[in-house]
Amino acid sequence: MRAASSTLLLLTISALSAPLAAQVQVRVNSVPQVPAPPAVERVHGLRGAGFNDRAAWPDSFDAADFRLLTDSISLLAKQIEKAEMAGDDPGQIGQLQGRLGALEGRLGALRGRLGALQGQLGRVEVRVGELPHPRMVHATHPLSPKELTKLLKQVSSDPHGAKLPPPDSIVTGNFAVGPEMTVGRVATMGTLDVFGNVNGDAVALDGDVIVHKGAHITGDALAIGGTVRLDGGTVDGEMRSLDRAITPTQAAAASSSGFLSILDQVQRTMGALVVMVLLGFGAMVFAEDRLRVVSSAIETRFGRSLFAGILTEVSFIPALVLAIVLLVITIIGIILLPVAIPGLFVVGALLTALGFLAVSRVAGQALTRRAATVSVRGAELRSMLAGLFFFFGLWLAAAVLSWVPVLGSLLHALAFVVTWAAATVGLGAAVITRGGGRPTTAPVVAAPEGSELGWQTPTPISGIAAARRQATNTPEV
Amino acid sequence: MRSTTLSLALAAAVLPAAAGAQQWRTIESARQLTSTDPATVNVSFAGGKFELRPLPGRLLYQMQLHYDEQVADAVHEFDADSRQLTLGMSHANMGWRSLRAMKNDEGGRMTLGLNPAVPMDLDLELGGAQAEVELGGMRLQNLKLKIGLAGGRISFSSPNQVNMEELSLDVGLGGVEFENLGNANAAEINISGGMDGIKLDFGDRVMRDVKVNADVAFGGLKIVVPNSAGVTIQAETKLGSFKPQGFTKVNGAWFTPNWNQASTHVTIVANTALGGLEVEHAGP
Repeated sequence: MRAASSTLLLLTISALSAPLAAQVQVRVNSVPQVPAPPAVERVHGLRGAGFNDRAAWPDSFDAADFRLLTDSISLLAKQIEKAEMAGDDPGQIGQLQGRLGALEGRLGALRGRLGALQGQLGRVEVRVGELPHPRMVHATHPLSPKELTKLLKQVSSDPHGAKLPPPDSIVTGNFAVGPEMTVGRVATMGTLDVFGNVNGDAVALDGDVIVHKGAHITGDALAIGGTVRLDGGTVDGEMRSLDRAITPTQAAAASSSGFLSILDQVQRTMGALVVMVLLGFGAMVFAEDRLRVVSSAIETRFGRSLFAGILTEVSFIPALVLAIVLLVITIIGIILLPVAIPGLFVVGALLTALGFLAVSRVAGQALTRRAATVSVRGAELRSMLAGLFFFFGLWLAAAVLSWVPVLGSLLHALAFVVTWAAATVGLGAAVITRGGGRPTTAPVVAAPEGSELGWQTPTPISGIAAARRQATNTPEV
Repeated sequence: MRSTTLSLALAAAVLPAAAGAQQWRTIESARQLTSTDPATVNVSFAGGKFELRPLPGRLLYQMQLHYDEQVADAVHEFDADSRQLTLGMSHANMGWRSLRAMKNDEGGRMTLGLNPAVPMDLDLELGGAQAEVELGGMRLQNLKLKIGLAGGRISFSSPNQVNMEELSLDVGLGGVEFENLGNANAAEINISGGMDGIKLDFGDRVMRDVKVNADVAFGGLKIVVPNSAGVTIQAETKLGSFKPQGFTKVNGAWFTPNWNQASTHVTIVANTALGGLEVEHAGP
């Protein structure tokens, strides 16, 4: 009796599936004793493209419906067989058979929908075969296998993504985990409806994850290009959704963010270099003497310049506060306040820039050798540019090598320390020379032996003898 | 030679644009409530708009974060053992330019809901964010709030459900306004910074005795306490003004007339510079 019932059930499933197979070439696999569901391996929708174009996916909805229906038939078949084997109440068995009848009606409706789909797409190809997972329905996707592999790899490597199974285990299309079903981690390229249990993560790419009442996901629920909706179920892990699918192109752009960061640093450094070079040209034209005086102070009074620079930096904020206080206590001061405070910053910036240019010039002198044909002014300009390139070269090297974990940080630190020291010495020199307006007393240079006498004018052939000129250290021009 | 020049010019035009490219991303994260054991919540957000509100229901938290992934990364971690929840952004590449970009029209934003049924130590670090924070009805045991550049409004529209040990506020250049602070149920409030002014409005009632330690420069501090609470002030103001109206000075401290009769008391120890201290004893 029981064996006859099982056979009848198998025949019922076969009968349900046979008309469908006739229309869309579906073959039903059944295993003796244990009824297996009809399975559709692939549904090729040959029209439409675009990963995010839901309208181009008319096949996916039907495929998932079909899968859910066949799963339900399979489950019911197992339940009926189990109930008959256990000799359960015939009333209960009849109830299950009633549900099976209802499914028969739904399958008929589905058959109609697939027919409509066939007409809509022009051609629907369904291939049948043994599946690694009998519950899965695969639909082709506009992404090529290579693109799909790349996308999945990208999602797996995304810190906010999830570790995904291999491409051949991804359900391409909508998918549902039926009630009383338990599956491992599951990933779909479409909407994922969970009614049963998922041991692991549940991931939907370009679709929603819907956790229905009674469902249980032990891992995370992740939707990329969709949302995670909690409809009475339970998610032990995190429910996470990202606004868009990471296509391979976007993923490539994201992976280049490190390069863009380096480029950004290089751009900023080059911008600062250009500004300093322009300021240098300006100083050479409009404040050449001041630049020379500050440079001279750096050469002759390095220690004092450094001390003055540090003192200036340390006392700037207190001096600023003091200035504000002193200005605030008088009416005229209050009026002057909006001009005086920005003025202080401008003066500070100008002194720092002048000092840094002077330091660059002095450093450049040490780095370059004056060519015989170059004028003094040309040599000074060349020295200043060489010095600027040296300081900013450190920052450029730090920027370019910023991706190297330790070296990048060390170079950044080195560039900062060297630049700070240079700016401090320059600022100090600019301060002690009052912005280059007060020349420092230079040490007297001993005249070389044998040339102790210099003549101011050539000795006339006749008349007054030429006056003797005192030795000086005036720069040669 | 000409082609080299053209290439360089093209590169000069394209590279800055490429370097400045932004890549905005929105992430939503939530977890179901599995326990009402106390939790530690650390929230960090750099620039843009920040909104926090209670989220009654079955979720422990729900966060929506819109950020530029070129300059920051989203953080959404929960350690179930230590009950430590970390949300918001990490600022590995965050600089001034990035911060400015995040504050632009299509700037960063973070909306966060936290379940009021969970007692928590809440640590909010909001760099340049404009914050709108509603904490009414929560169970806050401790609250630390750091605001950098922008500012914010923090409101306790309904009473905190547990006693708060400490409310700590550290403000940089922005200004901060607290509303109905009396509902915070805090024993101690520590305030520091605030270039743009800080206002503490205790609202209609003060739930229990509270001590306010304030160290504020430049922006000034205004404290509004309801008449139902007694207030005492020990203030040290440098280069600022302090005009406590309706207070009586006893042994160097200022007291309201109802100090002895009031059921709850607010003790203010303030150290202000340049900005001044203003205490208003008004309302119900």
